[in-house]
Amino acid sequence: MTDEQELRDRLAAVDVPSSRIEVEGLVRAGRRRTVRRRAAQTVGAALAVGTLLSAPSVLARTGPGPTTTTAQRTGAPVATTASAEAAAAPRSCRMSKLPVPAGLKNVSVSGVDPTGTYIVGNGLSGQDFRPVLWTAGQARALPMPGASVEMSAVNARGVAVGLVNDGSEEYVVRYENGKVTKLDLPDGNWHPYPVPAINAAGDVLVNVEPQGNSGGKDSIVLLWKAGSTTAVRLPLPEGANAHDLTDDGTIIGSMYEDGLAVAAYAWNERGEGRKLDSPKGMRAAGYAGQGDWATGGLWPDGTAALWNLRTGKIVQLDFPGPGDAVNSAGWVTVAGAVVRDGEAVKLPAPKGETGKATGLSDTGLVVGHTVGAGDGRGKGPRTWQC
Amino acid sequence: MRPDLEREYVEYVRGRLPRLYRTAYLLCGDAHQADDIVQATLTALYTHWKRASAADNLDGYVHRILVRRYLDERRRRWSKVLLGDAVPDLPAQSDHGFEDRDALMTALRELPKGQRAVIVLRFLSDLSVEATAEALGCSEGNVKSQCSRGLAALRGALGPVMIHGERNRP
Repeated sequence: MTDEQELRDRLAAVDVPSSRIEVEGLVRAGRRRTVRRRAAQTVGAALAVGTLLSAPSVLARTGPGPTTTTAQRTGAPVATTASAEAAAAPRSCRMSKLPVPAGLKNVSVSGVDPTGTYIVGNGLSGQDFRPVLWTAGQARALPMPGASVEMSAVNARGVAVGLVNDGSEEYVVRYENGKVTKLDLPDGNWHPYPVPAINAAGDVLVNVEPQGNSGGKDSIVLLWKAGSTTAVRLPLPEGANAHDLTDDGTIIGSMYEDGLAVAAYAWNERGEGRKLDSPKGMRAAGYAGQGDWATGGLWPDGTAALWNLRTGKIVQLDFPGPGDAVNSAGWVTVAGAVVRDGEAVKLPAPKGETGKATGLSDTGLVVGHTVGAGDGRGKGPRTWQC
Repeated sequence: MRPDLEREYVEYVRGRLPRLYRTAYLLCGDAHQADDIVQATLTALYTHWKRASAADNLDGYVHRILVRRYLDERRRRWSKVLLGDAVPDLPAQSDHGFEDRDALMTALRELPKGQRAVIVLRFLSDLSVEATAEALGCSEGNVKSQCSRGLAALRGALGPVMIHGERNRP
């Protein structure tokens, strides 16, 4: 465009309302936050004890990790001393490259099953997604029922779900043993968002809003029972959006008002919900759940939250959030970082690259990609066994 | 924070605040939400100031936080939705009786969010293609295609106004 400079000038000249923000107020808020952050780190240390109690059974599936080894070798009872030793043990992760199916470019990973056997992701072709399933490290391009298929989740039996976008038509698909099945939406024109979730049983969950709406206006929550192609509308309250489905059928989500999340919730399929706690004055959104844990974000702080669904306790993680995946040991992915016991886990990467996590298994397998440290370009899908 | 570091922070923020607020407002179109986004961004910057201020590209870092605040608060995985956007229809022609700046704001609001974010970051915040891709968490190719679509849509919406509009409105 020859008038790009004019666009620059005009964007700079758009009449914006005045802001209420003052620099002094920011400094005060920053100081308060720094104090809270120190307090949260103390909480994080306390959390480490609780988390490690469940870690051995979780990690035992693929053999003991560094933290369990300490506890098991010493034969220490599950107590504070064992946790302290374990916490001091090095937490190293080993990076591996995931192969990419021939012909696919810009491949990224979007999810991993709790056992770490199956991983789903997407290649990009222009604006369209190309679905990929990795089984025990072997990559396979999945069949395409429409112009774009965005894979979002996979369960421990290798049943995967994604979102098809084919011109004006959008729908949810399920892949099982390489066969793709369209999951029917109710009558009318619906836009599913953001992406479908699947649990161990194979039940599939997504929100839909009438085509043309945005921000979740007039949205409803749909569930397809395992094997079924007929959606059941869940009796959740108006303004409820669901983001994840745990293996016991708990729906993790949030209540939205005017397109903004106001509170995180855990519901059952009958629509009975409980609000997940948030610090005073903060709004919360629940994005993911696994086992006893749920994660999401807190605003206006913009930090990540970790809820224990059993005790109802919340830990505010001082990482620029929100949390978008969690495993049964309470590890969380937050904006590409893995946070365990309140601290970032180092994801080793070749020189000049940085690891970014997008998902976690209960076996300590972190999935994601690396980016160039200078240019931020994706360098391809990776896993880290932590 | 040490007093000298805090002074540096205050200086930086004073210099950037109006432009960051403008960026947030053009992204979300709501004054209160723009305040929330900027406040959260700059409070987070305060807590990480020592490390952040030593970074190569502080402005890029700040924009990345700001965009994340905007995207994450609106909807999870929005940037993935952005990547999956189908080619949008051109928005309806704006009423040329509007004042230019209102027409531009209206046209911006009619853009799919991905295109709007790319246009604002590239042409208001002057981020490079690489920095825009990093801020949005997508590829450079996506930034380029979103940008050209966004510009085409703005041209379609603003047409003659785009070309003949006055440049120096207050």
